[in-house]
Amino acid sequence: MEKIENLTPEQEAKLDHYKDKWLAKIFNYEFYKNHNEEKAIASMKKLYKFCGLEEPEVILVDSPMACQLKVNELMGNEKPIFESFSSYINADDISWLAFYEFFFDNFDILDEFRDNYNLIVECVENSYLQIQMDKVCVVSKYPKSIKRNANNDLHSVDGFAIEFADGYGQHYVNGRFIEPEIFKECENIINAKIAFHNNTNEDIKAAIITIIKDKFGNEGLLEMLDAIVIDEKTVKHVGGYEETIRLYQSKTSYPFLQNSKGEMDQPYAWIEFTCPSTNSVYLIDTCPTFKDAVKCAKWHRPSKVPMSVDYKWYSAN
Amino acid sequence: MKFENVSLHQGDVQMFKLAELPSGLNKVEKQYIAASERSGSFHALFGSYDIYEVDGGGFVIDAHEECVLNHSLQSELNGVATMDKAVVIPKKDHRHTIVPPGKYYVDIQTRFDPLENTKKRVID
Repeated sequence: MEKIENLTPEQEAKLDHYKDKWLAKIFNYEFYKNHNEEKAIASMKKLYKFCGLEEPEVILVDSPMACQLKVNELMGNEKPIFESFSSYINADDISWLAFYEFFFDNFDILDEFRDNYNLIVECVENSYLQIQMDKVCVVSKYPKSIKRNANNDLHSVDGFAIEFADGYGQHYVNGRFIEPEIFKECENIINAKIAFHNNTNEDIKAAIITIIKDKFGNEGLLEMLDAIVIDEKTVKHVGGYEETIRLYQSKTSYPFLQNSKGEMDQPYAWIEFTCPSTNSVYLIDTCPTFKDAVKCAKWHRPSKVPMSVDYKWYSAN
Repeated sequence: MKFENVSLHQGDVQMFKLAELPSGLNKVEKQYIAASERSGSFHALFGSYDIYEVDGGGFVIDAHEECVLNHSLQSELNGVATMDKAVVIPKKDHRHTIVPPGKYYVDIQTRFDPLENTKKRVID
């Protein structure tokens, strides 16, 4: 077989077309809209035959959750257990399917594999995920709705970030999965406030803040925290990256809260950082004695780092 | 530790350049610098380096070459046999960080617990 060492500029210029074409199949819902039950069943039977396996019963369902429920029902499980989805022949394959389609269309060195490739394409067109078992294959259709942020991470503060035809969906905020209970708490500021105070996980707290900020604005965030802004500083880091850090304090003091000097009857205090990779906003619990956001940011570095070291990132991700 | 004014961060993992390798350190096997039980993600340094434990937590890194700090998932490690090569692996949340050769103190950002009046590493 001939080995291709380099692509010509003309060939390279075609690559984006293949990338966009395949991404559109999922993100413009082509696979969802064009789902064909007959083709889905026939292609999965062909796949089992290709692998030398007995022809399966192909069961089509609307979502990955429905796959799990169906398989547990078939196995007679009293307590549902998670069954692994197949590693291949699903939506994850579109990257390499796009890659090989480019070579099929522009070169002839892979022609002998075209039928096999077409079989995989037929399967993937109608299978978002599947659980492959002896004699039974349970296939989930593609999602009907996918919402993402500017980084293309799954993201929605108004509802599911990914949703299937049967109503099953999952919540994500800036690419991070959020449990439905937490998401529901953020429907109003009072419940969000309770959830924020009851959680110690900074990613969950960041999701709550992001949802509240997006839904209710900065005023909503301050209302949730019952807080005022104490200081705001913008720091210019190396390479042009600018970071805005804010200090907040609750308006009320609480007899059970201490500052770092051990003095009781203190307000809650937070320092706000924004992740440069995900744009998630983090409010980290801090000591209410700070009035300068940069000094406070220095204090939150690992304990062995002296305050004399500048607060300046050479790389921030 | 003698710190220089060069700092890098990837999420809550922060690295600070040192002028020299502190004495009396205990060298350990390469390992994740931080891992999240909730999400299954980790921060790990890939490349040619030695890693030492620091009393009270954190590590000192002696990077012999340009290394790569990755934030990724265990499932992305298929086919990556060791952390000895400076490779970029698919990210979980944070972009990869190029770590220039040198000595670094690395640990996790802290939060203040106003109920206990203590500083703790942030949890994600």
